[in-house]
Amino acid sequence: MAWISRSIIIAGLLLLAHACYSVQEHAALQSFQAASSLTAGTPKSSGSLLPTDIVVETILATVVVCLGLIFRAPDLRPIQWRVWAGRIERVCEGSRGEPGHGFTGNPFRILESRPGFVDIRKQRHEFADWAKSRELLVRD
Amino acid sequence: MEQSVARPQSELAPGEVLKLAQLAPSILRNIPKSFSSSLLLSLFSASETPEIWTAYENLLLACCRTGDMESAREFLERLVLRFGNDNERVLAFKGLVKEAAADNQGELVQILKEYETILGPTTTNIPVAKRRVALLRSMGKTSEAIEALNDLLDYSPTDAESWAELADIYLSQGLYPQAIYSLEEVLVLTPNAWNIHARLGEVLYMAASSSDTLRQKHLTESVKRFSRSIELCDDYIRGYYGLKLATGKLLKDPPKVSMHAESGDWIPPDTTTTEKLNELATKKLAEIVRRNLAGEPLWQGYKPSEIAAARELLEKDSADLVR
Repeated sequence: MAWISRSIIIAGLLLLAHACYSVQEHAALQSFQAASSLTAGTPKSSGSLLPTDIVVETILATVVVCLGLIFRAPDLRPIQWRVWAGRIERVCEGSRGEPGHGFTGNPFRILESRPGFVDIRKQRHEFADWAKSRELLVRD
Repeated sequence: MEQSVARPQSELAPGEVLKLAQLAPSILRNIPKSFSSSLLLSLFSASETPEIWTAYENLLLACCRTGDMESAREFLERLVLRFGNDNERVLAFKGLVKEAAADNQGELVQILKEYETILGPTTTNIPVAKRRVALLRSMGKTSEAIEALNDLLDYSPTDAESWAELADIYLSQGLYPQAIYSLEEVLVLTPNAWNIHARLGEVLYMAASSSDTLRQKHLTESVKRFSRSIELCDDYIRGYYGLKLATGKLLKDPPKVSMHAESGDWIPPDTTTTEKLNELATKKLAEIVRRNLAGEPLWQGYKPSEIAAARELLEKDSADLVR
């Protein structure tokens, strides 16, 4: 779906560039006309207003670019605590629908694992036992 | 670098730790030993990010666990190079690596003495103080560990991790009132921690099974805690499991009116409310188990052991009903 939003943004930017170019051309034309009318001796004062189609094009281009950017935005995160927490518990890491970039799991998990108080010797023993049992399994 | 390395590690299964520790050599090779502080050079070399140091700490722990002491020392050396020899965390990690390498009681006593000299009579080096408590506990000197932890909490009473550890030590000694008190302190500091609410519910449930006088009160409180945990977290299997157990027990022997009158400060829930809660827990557990086993992609985050336990509970329950 990324290509849709990207093409919308590109189309909007092209429209915007076209509108800018039109304004530039219009201004150049106006100043040329003013200069020529000065030499002809008939003063005209209606040179400051832009034609409606250029104004409409500019506004439309801006809206289209904004829409494209909105479509590109990543999925919103849940705003309710329990929904957000529930998703952390329910959804497997790395699957689709994961709570997005920077997903760190349950932030209160450290209150139960307590890395500051880790009993490294016990963990080493457990790991050694596990490795031994796995070796036995492989040998069988 | 893989994302998983930089995440806070919880209790990993041995297989996962092994996988993590096997990443260590390649990470040591790929990341330069030190980062230049010069602005010009940093344009060309790898940039330093906070994630790197978290990853180093995680990998250091994983390597200590798997016995890859060479890589562990290398990580420690890098941390020392970056943060200096006297950094509080670095001091704690140094002790940790020594603990992991120690193989007899004498060495452990030596490390304990080192901790005490670092701490001295007045310094408040919290990471090292925590290591000291952990080492005391690991050596089986539980009462000394409790004393040291209480000292630590005296000057740092807002440390939720220490309160949680204290609760765990008390619980291992069967001191339920103290454990409940400590867990309540944790909840004062982190009122939204749904797993701690569930934990307190579990401890209260255990306390209810052990004592007769406060049995009803503990059970009621336990139901409340589990209810709060599922209020904070949708589809929380641990909360629903506990809720089902606690309400089931409460339904089996309903509170007597006389007990209600004498304690005064707590009111047991209605039987209908308890029944409703029990039904809700059964329904939600059945839904979670069904959806997880059906392989729905958004329901695969539960541990297989949790699902198996919930299934067993449900089956036991339906067998009771049939009988």
